[in-house]
Amino acid sequence: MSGSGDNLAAWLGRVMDDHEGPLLRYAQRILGDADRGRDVVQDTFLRLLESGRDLEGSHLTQWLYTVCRNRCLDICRKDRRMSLLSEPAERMQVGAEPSPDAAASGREQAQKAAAAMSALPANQQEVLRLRFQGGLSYKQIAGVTGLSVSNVGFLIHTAIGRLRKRFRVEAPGRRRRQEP
Amino acid sequence: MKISKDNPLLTAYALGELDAGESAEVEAALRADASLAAEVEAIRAVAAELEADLAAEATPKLLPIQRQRLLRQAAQMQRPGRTAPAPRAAVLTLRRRLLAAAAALLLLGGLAGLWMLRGPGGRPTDTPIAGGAANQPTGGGVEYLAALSPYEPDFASSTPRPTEKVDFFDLSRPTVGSLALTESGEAIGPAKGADGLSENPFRLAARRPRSTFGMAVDISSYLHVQQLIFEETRLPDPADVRIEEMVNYFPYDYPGPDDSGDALAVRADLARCPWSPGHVLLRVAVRARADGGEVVARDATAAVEFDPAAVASWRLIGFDGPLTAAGARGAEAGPNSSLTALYELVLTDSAEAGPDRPIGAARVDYRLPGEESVRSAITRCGSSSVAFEDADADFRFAVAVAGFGMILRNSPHRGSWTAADVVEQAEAAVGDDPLGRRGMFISVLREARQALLPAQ
Repeated sequence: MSGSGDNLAAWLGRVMDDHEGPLLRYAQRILGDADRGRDVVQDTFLRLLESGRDLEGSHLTQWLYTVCRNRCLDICRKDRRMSLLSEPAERMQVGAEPSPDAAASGREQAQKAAAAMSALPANQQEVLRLRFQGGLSYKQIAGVTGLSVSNVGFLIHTAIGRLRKRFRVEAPGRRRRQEP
Repeated sequence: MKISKDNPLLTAYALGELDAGESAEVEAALRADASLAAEVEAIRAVAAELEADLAAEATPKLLPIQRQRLLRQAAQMQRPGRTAPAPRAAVLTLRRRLLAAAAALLLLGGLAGLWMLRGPGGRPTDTPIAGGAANQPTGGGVEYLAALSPYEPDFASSTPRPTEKVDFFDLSRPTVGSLALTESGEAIGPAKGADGLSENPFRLAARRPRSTFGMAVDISSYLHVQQLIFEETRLPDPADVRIEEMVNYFPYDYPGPDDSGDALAVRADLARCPWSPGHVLLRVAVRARADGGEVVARDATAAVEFDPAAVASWRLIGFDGPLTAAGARGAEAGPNSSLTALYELVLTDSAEAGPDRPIGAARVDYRLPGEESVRSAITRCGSSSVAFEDADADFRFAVAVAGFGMILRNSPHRGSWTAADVVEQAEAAVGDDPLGRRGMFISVLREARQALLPAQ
């Protein structure tokens, strides 16, 4: 594995420190369920161990998000009726439940963004979150979602255009932020 | 270079996603047009706003017990004498394969877009939230590894069952097209793959003019295939590859019913078969009405009837094994769902040479929710077929997926098609790809071709 090879647990600890929070947010957002999100992320890290993959940096990020996403989508499918004619539409559940941990002001802030984003199609919401919350590059997002890089660029461009209109309409004065 | 305000390049530039050369081009355009520069600033402002808002969302953590289990597992894997996840050689192989996959993704991206790979960039690290351990479960007696994933698809139920035996060496049989057939209309020859996996054989239309297939199609076989190839870099067991599940994993843009009273629409098209010269492929496509509740049609069953004067023999691609009782009873159709079935046909000489004539009809029977009477959607199919390259993108993509399934199953019917052909056809047929599934399929294909399948 990565590093000296004699301390897999320490390496995993570092990987979890870096990725646990963002992956959990991503999984919980797709699943709309905190417990299942944790199960998926735990499973993702376990798969990383078992795969014996020697990954770091951007490749590691992309691998983790890809595996995490696929596990989430498996669950979404299992939840629905598995039968039938195939049901191709993938609806991202955008969880409305705010986290109890969020500070009140932070919560309000986050809810405003989430509210503005919730009007966007699911695929635009997903790429926005991967880019602005997960910190993934267009290229990495393309790898995770299976979209082309130009497709990712188009989605983000379109989504930002729509958010601009929404921000303008909703809160002309709000968009000024105090520096922390 | 002139750049319009709605060019995604502007956003990519504003977000720092372009390489130096591309950035320079955009900057030249910005210098020439002040309104473009204002546009970039506006994009950056929204992006910063969004990033700050999203960063304010709570950062969840794994439960402490989950973290401990993972760390313990890592420590156990380390200890000499324990079963390692993979021997060293395998790790090296995986790494090499992963590099190949990364190269493939890069190439793919390079073809599809203008932007180059970038590092993850400096992001603020997420601050842990205190008190995350509050809802730690108590007394979790079951070791995590004992139940690795409760969500693992169950493949036991979808393993193809063998069909009836065919005598390989009986040469005293009539032949039709390129195939030898038994008197009962079963094909001799390519009915079994090298590993004994049975597939639906060619059948003589004169004796078996009617075909049915189950409309309740799972998609878990495709997910299994994708997971193994893309995440674990190994090929699936051929018996776990169900072609109809692979084909129907992907969305297709088939027209729905014209009449608002109908719930299902069916169409049938022919194209020449890319892997067996002289054969044609029939696509039967069903689309459910979009609106409505959970179920827009129930008890749906499908049948295709061939005219023996036009069709010498036919083979249903995928759907191997007998129709289950549940399948025979019929399926429910959700709103806007679709189903694709592919047949490989050998037309008679007269149908090949003559004017367009019906070769058969596809029919779907169903009930509307809350109604007892049976409704039908029926379509006839003419004998004229287009060249494969001229078929619509949905048709070609479905065929590429089926072709990949045949390769994974070591199907004796795969004919001349190689993995390279599948990649080429799939790439040409990606189309709009609203869910990104087709793009992902191509990544899977490339991984399989470069790292797993023997060179052709």
